[in-house]
Amino acid sequence: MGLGPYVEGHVLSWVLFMPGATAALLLLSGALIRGVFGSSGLPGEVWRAVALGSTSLTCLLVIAGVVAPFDPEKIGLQWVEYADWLPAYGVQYFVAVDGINLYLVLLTTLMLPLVLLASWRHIERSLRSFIFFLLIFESAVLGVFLSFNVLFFHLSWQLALVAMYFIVGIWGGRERVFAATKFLLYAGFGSMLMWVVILVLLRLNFEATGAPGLDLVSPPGSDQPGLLDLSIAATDGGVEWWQSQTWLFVGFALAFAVTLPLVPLHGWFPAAQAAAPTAGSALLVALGLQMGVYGLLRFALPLFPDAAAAFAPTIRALAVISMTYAGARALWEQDLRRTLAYLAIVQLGFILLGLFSLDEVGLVGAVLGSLSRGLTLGACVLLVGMLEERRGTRLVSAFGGLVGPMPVFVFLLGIALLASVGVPGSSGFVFELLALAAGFEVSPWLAATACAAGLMVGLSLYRGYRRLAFGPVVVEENRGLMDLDWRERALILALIIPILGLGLYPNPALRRIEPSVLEVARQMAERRSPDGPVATSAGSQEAGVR
Amino acid sequence: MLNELAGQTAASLRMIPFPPLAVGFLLAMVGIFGRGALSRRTVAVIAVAGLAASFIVSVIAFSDLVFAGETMALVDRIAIWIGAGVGSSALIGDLALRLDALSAAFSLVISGVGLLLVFYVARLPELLPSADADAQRFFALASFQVGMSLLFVLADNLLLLMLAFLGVGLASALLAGFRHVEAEGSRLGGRVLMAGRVGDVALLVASLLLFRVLADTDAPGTGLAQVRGALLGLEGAAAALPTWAGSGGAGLLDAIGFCLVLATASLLAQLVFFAGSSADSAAPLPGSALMQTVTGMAIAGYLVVRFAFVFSEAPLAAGAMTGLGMAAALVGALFACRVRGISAVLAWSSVSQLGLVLVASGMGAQTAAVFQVISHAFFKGLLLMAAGVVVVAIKGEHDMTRMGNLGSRLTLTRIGFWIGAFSLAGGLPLTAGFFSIQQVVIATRAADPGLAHGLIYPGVLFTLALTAFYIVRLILLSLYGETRLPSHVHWDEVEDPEPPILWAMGSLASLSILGAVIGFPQFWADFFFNGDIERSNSLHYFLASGVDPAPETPLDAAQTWAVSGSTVLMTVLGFAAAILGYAVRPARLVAWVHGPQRLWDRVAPRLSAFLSVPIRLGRLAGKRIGAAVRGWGRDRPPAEAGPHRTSAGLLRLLADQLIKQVQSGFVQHSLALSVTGSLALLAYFLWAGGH
Repeated sequence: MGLGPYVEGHVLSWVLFMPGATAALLLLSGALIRGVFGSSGLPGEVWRAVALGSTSLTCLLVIAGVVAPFDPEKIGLQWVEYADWLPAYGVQYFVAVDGINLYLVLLTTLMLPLVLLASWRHIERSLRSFIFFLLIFESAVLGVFLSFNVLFFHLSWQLALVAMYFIVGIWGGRERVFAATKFLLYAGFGSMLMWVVILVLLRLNFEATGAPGLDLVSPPGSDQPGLLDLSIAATDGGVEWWQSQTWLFVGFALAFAVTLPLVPLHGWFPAAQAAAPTAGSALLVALGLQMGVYGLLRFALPLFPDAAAAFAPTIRALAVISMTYAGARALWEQDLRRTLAYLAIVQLGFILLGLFSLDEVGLVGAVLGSLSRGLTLGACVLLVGMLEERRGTRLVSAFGGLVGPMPVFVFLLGIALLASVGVPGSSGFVFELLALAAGFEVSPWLAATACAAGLMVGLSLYRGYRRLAFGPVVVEENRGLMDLDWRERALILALIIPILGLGLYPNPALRRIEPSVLEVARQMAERRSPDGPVATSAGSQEAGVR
Repeated sequence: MLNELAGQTAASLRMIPFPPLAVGFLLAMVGIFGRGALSRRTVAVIAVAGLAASFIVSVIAFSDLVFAGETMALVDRIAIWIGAGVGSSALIGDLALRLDALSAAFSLVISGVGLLLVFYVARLPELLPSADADAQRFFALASFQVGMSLLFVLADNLLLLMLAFLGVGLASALLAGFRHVEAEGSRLGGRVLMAGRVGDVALLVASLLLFRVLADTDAPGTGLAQVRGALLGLEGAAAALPTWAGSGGAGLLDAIGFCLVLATASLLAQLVFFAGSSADSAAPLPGSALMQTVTGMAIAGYLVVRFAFVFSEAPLAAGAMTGLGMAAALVGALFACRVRGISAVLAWSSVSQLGLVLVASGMGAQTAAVFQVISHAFFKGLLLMAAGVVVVAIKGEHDMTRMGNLGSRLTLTRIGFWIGAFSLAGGLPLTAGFFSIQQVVIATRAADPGLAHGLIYPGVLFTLALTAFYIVRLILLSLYGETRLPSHVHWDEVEDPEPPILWAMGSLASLSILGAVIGFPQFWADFFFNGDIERSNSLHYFLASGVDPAPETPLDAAQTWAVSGSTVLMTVLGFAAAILGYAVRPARLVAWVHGPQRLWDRVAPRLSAFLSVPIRLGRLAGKRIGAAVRGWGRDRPPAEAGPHRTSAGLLRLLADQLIKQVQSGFVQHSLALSVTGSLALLAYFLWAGGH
């Protein structure tokens, strides 16, 4: 399909900058109108309508211009756009799509119009600023997912965190300032570590090539080597300690672990989830958390494969500990939003189990897991937001028997919850299956524990769901609740349909993801030093499973 | 083997589960998004049509399979479903259906008995709540559940099997929680859902372990036939398998077996929940009937028989399954002797009967297990239909002590009851139940002697006596004796149902008797026909390719006579005890019969209390752990405490004043710290670079 001369060849730039440019344009027009006519600028309703149009158009552009023509057979990057930006500091504009970020980009562009629709009524204070930050957040997250230059990735990362900080801190609930500050502290700590690692990489690359460069791979048509061509010592023998893979990996891993969020660096997350407005909460679970997983897979694993292999058993163990902890916390949680936060940590455990099995099946599972986590938890958070909008509370004990007044809500929430605990037929099942298949290969007992933790959180969710949806209507206020209207139904179905589609027929998506994952696995294998540590756990080596 | 693995292509197989699944989906969508769009009658017609289509295709596929030869399987490969990885670790599962002898037998029973039950409910609408929306919900769920059960028995691979297992569990939970507006119904649905989820995860772990076991063989994969072939093909399986899950491969196979037992136990638990939570009021009879005959019972039977190849290599797991089965058989029968609700008796009876199926399969008698499932579907379906007629005739009353003498009005229903009772109790030779139960008893008698097995044989015989007792007690209390009807029931209005319902009951009654020909043992064929009939046990030979049946006649003639005699004797004893206790009632005998029952009445509550100890302990521990967990990493500050009261461990290490500054909520403090830290680190690296 032709996209016209202005878009063809620059489709990713259009996608990346359209939301941000819309925000800037709205700001400028507002200022202009204020200056010329002396009014208070563009009304909030216009902002909202223009933002919805812009984000929807971005989503359509991704579907028609990127996802539909994406060639699943092609190994390597597609729709590459490359330009010098600040070449003296190694910053290039280098964006591209492959199987790993394809669906995350789609998820990002899908979530924004849905979130705008979901908060159509209940954002009254500073509507224009709210929309401004949402649009900036979208562009920033797209920058994170699309960038193949480490510094551009980092800048986008920072921008996304700052935008989220304002969304939580200004439009959140009762404890919004506390939550936003906590979020900024944790995220700032992670970003600082990432920044340090990037500086080291810049220096190492400069020493090796004589020119600054922070592109992950060699850009097309250029002989400038990428970071993946850079040889980084597996351990600190012969080099400064901070130049070894071990410490660089730790820096990156800690930075990403904060946003994953991995226990014990998760403290900010339940608080932020509880305090954020529905839109912020949905964007955080659907997109914010996936940035960490993506960073690990795109940068940390291929750049530092020996260190990744050495730390793999520890991270797998941490993942399962996180799951168990979160599962236990979820059992006694009354606040629905916080329960979902713990559920996100449980899902993360599966994702990390797959990722750090360092096996193709597990890596594919992790990519799909990111997507599934975004879809399922995004849907759950939006639904809980709709309930909160009606009743002003999210405590399970305030409800009961909702199936009477709100059958559609109960039905859709049931599907979203079942999918989020990995019930067969949903996207959650497919990714958990792949992650566990890889997990069972390297650490069967950990994988079995992960299953038990998943079961635990599943049971607590069922219990909460049953209390919420079934039984007699105890609180009179619930009797008159309005069921979801068509706007709400449509936006939830936009998430439920891909969840079921991926669950019932995941192969088309897997076919697009797999070649890129195999490429990452190949890069890791190539960069591994022959005497480096091995990926599998000691137990499985002894047994000679593979 | 190659033929069996490849199978003959038959695109029609997808049309077995598809119609009921499509109907279930359609009715659910109409019910949720367009309430009242379809009338009750239209909904019933659509549901029956879906199941009828499925049954017709099942019959055609079955005949195709028979004509294709015994070792052949039919395969319908629709698409690649899940595919990831390369080489031996690749995880590939096709969206594919496979019809072999075992799945053919089960798909016929599930679609056939499912059709009859749904037709019966359609013609007897009083069994369902009066609201049209509720009826629509029932037909949607019933269609969906039968469709998923069919998908389960036709699944070609482990992944599809899991999907179908979940579907069945989900539909069971929704049927169990049918009356969700009542607290009891909601709780029952929740329990069934949780039990199903435990089963899901157990099946997932079993499948992944199986997949791993076979990753090193020539034929790694998730296909059921492939897995079975590869596992059986492993020379010295115990030595060749990985050791990480136990001491030697046998330990791993036992682990897989235990997971499968857990999955089966989850189905058993669902039946127990149906039976135990005063099934009369919480779960409506039709949903419970489906679970007891085809969608719960048959699924559990199929699961254990399908994975018999694992149990044959995993003696510990097989022992656990036998033990579980025996316990379920006895406990189910004992509770059936005690409860007063007519449908509760039948529900506990199903628990007991599933126990017998597990015993048979655990002992390696797969044909006996399959035959028991099939005959049970026939006679239990008949008994449940008859019970439904009684309940409807007396305006929803379930308590048998408030019935009596109904047989004089419900004459045809009474015949149905007696045919079902004879088949269930296994007391009358020439019923399907007699021959199926006899094969179970023979399997327990023929097992290796030993303390555990030595207890199973008498245990099964005792269960038979109890079975005869409770079913005759049910009939006598409800259909004979004095009339004890509640005042709102008019005697003149109590009458047999309309002919279509009688036809449905008649079909199952015929099958309860004629079904005997399916698995007519050679021993009896030789006895009745002087050896003129060879291979009389058609089911045994039909299943030979799909499962690993034990020898058809493991006992010699004298032993077989002894076993048959014992079976009949125990049944007669049970019958006699019930007749003496509830019909003849001579004073001394009544006292004698009621003595143990009174004792049981006293013991049963204590047994229930004892059984619930782990649950109560779990709750207590849960509360304590909950209190402890809430104390960990308290990341929610008390509302009045202010934001600085965080317990993030890392920050605690820093000076208290600094934390207060940083967490005061002012961005500039945080930014100042970030900038300072960044500059410090930058300075360090510049300095380090210079040296």
